[in-house]
Parts: sequence; structure tokens; C-alpha cells
Amino acid sequence: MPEMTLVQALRDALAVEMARDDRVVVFGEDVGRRGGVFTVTEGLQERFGEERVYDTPLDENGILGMAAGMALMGLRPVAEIQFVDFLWPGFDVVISDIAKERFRSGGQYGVPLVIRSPYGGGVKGGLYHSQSPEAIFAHIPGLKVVIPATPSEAKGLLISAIRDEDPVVFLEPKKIYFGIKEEVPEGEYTIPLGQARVVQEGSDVTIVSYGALLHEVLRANETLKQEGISAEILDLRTILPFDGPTLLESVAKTGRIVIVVEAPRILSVASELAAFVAERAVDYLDGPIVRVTGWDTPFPYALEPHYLPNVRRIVHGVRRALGLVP
Amino acid sequence: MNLDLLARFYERMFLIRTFEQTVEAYFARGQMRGTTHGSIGQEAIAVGVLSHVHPDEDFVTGTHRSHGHFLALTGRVFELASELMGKKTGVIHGRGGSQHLAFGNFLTNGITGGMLPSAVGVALAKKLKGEPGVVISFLGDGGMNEGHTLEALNLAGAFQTPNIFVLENNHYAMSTVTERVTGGTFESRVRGFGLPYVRHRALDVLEIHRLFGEIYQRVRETRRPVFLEFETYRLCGHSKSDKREYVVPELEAYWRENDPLLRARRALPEETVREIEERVRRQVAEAFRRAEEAPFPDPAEELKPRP
Ligand SMILES: Cc1ncc(C[n+]2csc(CCOP(=O)(O)OP(=O)(O)O)c2C)c(N)n1
Ligand SMILES: [Mg+2]
Repeated sequence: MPEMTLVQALRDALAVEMARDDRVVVFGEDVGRRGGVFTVTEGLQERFGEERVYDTPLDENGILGMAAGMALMGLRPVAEIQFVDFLWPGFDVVISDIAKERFRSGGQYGVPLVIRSPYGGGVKGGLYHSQSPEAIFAHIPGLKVVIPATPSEAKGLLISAIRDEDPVVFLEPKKIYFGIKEEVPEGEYTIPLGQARVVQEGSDVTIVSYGALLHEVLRANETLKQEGISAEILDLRTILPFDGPTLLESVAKTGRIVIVVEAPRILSVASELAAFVAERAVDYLDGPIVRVTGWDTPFPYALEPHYLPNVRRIVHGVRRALGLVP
Repeated sequence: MNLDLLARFYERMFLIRTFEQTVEAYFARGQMRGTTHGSIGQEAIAVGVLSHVHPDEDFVTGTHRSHGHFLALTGRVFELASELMGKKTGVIHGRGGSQHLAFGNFLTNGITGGMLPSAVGVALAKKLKGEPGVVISFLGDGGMNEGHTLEALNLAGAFQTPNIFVLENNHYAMSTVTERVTGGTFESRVRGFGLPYVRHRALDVLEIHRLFGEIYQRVRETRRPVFLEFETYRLCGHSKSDKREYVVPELEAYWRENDPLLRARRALPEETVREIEERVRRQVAEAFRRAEEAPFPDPAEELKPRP
């Protein structure tokens, strides 16, 4: 198996699906000639032509609206929003049309499209190149939300997202676009949506995370091991519909849970998972449900290292979950 | 030709260019990280236009590419350098970095065209409150294709607000040649919304100053909007990671040949140029040095649990 970065794996996924299915079209700002700001679509225009891989105007509303229309006509659009922070001029289409089409047409129409977009902090991008709005999308009935944490996941999940009959918001952790390499299966490779991955089995505490932060959790795990704490680490992968059974099974085993996300805390994915565990598994819990999150402020440029959860805060969260510190 | 005025303008233009080049050097050395958008090649517009502003009466909105606008307006190198370094002494205390500046009557936003509906609101409020002054808003050619930009033009046309829209058409939106993804012309769009439209090739800072002065006076008096398109060019990358593989060779050649900064420089006595450049280089170096020494913001103050 070839070694790939997350970006290469995404590119591979797009190429595999475009070669297999000529309904797949790829477009967005600067995705054609230049191959995207982060080079995810590099080489695709040369290979598949300007009709299937093209540059759009600077117009998110148009990009997403056209994607919706093309999906109605049976194509499989993969629309790129350059940074998810720039999606909002087109948010109306997402919330009013894309998410609701299947419901409001009584099931006659679906919009099988993918909105691909880099998200998250870690690149010193400041206010408009760093946000983590996954909970905002997850709050809208009718959307699926997916976030890979490794190159293999990026490929397997993106292919599944393209093949899905309904709209998928596919958020890519830009911090680890180039920093992590691993062997990625060749050709058609899928990971089913809706399934978390047990990254490491453990018995003392469950740690749930996704995206770039999963790797911070793995670093924190080194410290936990030295302290004799056995953590079960879950990579959520699909934010919605999230994998409830795997989560409950793990909490039933460990009795403790720490949820690590980089988004602002209030009404975050961490909040929803915490509520879910509190409702369904309170009898198994031996300690407080702990959230380690970003802060409830717009993303700060200078204070990014303090804003994002890090090893110190994750380890502290685990100690709190275990009742070792108040 | 008014050589004193030209010397004053050249000093500001050279300040902006030196600032941008210094930022490029900081990025190249890894002393600044993240992203930043330089305005090399477009300095004459910022300087020629904003030389007219009444700081107490007018309002100015910028874009993601607003170092030049900010410096033309305020001359505050230390505050801008501090902001880019994320220092507490920055324009907005290190909260924003390069794209998000706020200072007195000047506001910017990282969303292309994103300030424009607000700019119409500011102008309408001025009109309703019977206040003098106009609202000057910069935008880019790429930003002309955003829905909110077109909505803002319609609002200004419908409510006849004292807005001056200043389009800096540098032909590119990042790597996309804007013409290739634009239907019709900007002129017909703007006129379609009922706004007077003026186009000018931005080569000569004195000429820009004169033209804008006329429009500025007209809008101050009539309280009605005007749209002004400058043909210009950025002689640098879109942002720090840009290899500029997309440039149109003819455009590139024309503007290398006709760099408005060099044009102003050539028209000035050598002695004047030398004095200005030495002074500005010292000023910029000193400001960056002080910014490096300035403190970072305090996490305990900025990051607090809520509720
Ligand atoms: C709504 C939105 N979409 C995308 C971007 C990313 N982006 C930043 S600048 C830019 C190009 C802007 O082109 P133009 O308006 O011509 O201004 P210029 O960069 O040439 O000054 C793009 C695509 C953004 N900032 N905001
Ligand atoms: Mg432009």
C-alpha cells in the first residue's frame, strides 16, 4: 500500500470515484487550474477535463446552490468551500434547500452531494481560517457530518460520502493535511458512515475525539500510560449520525468519559455526546462527564495555543473524570 | 505638477511597500506564521483615495487586503506590525492578525465583500441622522461576484445613500482570473442598480487623488452613491504561499513596466527620494523592532469560561 498524506488520500478518493462514476463533478473557488488552496484537487482537471473539474466565481451561495441543482438532476457534485469559515454566504442553501429536500419533497428528491471544506485551528489563521462549526451543521436535520482523523479515514469516508444518497458535510482537519503519513488502501476503499473507530482499548476511562485533536489525545495518552491510566480511545469519524452503541459500550466498560473537541464549548458536539451518555448510561458512570473544548470566544489569533485543547488540558480532564483532581 | 504633494504621497506609498516587503521577509524567515495579503502594486489607490478622508466625519471599510488602506489612513506601523505578530499592542490587541483591523472610523473583514451591506447601513444611518460625511468602501474584482456585494449595490441605489464604492480590480481573485468566471461587465451591473459608474486606470497617484477628490466632493454634497472602478494590479502573491502560476503574461508585463510607485519616484528629485526612503526604512525597522519586543495578550484575560 502506498504511503499518503491526508491531502493525497483525499485526492486519491476523488480520482477513484471520478474514474468509476462519471456523474461525479468537482468544483469550487480555485479548485480547477490551481488544484485548490491545499492542492487536494491538483491534477484532476488535467485528468478529467474542465467540464468535470472547474473554477467557480467567488460565490459560495452560487457554488452550493448549483451543487443542489446538479444533485437534483442525478449528478454527484463534490463542492469545495475554500475554508469552512467562508461557507456562510451560502448557508441559506444548506439549511433551507440541501438539508430539507428529501423531507420537503416527500422523499421524491434527494440531493446526493458532498460539501468538502477545510476546518479547524492549528495553522495560525486567525478568525476566518480556524473555526470548527461542525455542531452547527449537525444541528440541522437532513445533513450528515463527517470528519476524518487519518489519511486512510479521509479516503474511505470521502468515497462513502460521495456514494451516499443524501448530503454530507465533509470537514477536513487542515492542521494535519500534510503532517501525518500512513499506508492507504489502493483503489475503491470505503469506511461506512456512522461508525466510530476504537483506536485503543482500555479499562479506566473513555476518551472520545475526532479530527486533528485525536492526535493530541494520543500524545496525552503517553502521559496517562506513565501514570498507569488505561484509556479507551474512540475516534468518532462520523459526527452525525454518531455511533451511539460504540460510545455506550465503551462507557459501560470504563465508567468514565472525557470528550475532547476544539470548537467552543457551549452547545458543541461534546455537549451532545455528554447529554447522550447522561441519558443512556448514567448507571454506568463512576465520575463526572468531562468536556475538554475550545473557549466561548471568536477564534483568537495570538492565543491560539491557549485556545486549542492540548496534552496538559486533556490529561487534566482525565484526572478530573477519574476523581483524582477536583 | 505639485512636487510637495507628490513627495508626501510617495512617502506614504513607499511606507506601504516597505511594510509589505518587511512582512514578506518575516514570513520567509518563519518569524510570522499563518496568512497575510500584501498590497504591493496597489499603493497609489490607498494613498490617493484616503488622502481626502475627514477622520471625524467619514467612515472607511476595507477588505482582507487592507494593510495599505490602514497605513494610508493612520500611518501607524507599530500597531499594524504588532497585530501581525499577535501582540497586545496590535490594532485589535492581537486578536485578529492581518485581515481584521478596526481603528476609529475604519473597519475590515475577512469575508470578501462582507463589509458592504454594513457600509450601506452606516451611510443610511448618517443620512437619517443628518450627519455629514461619506462612507468609502474598498472591494476586489472577485468580491464583485458575491451575492451580498450585489445586494449592497442595490440597497445603495434604492436608498440613495452617501456611499463611494472603490473597486480595486487587480484582475485576479486568488488564482482565478476573474473575467473567466464573470458574466457581463461590472459597469453594466453597477449602472443596472442605478449607480453612476466611473473607471480609471490607477497609474498616477496625483491623478487618482484629483479624480477621487471630485467624486468625494460630489457625494458629500449630493448624498448619493457613486461606484468607482480602478484598474490596478498586485505585483505580489495573493498570500504568502502563492507561486503566481496563473498570471496573464501581458498584464504582468504591462504593470511591471508601469508600477505606479516607480512612476511617482521617477518624477521626484533624487535627493528627495533618498531622504524619504531612508526615513521610511528607519521608521519601519524601528516599528517592527518595537513590535517584536512587545508583550503577547494575557490568556487569563481573554479566555474565560462562560457562563
Ligand atoms: C466569502 C469568502 N470566500 C472566500 C474567501 C477566500 N478568499 C480570500 S481573498 C480571495 C480572493 C479575493 O479576490 P478579490 O476580491 O479580487 O480581492 P483581491 O484578493 O484581488 O484583493 C478569496 C477567494 C474569503 N475571504 N471570503
Ligand atoms: Mg482581485
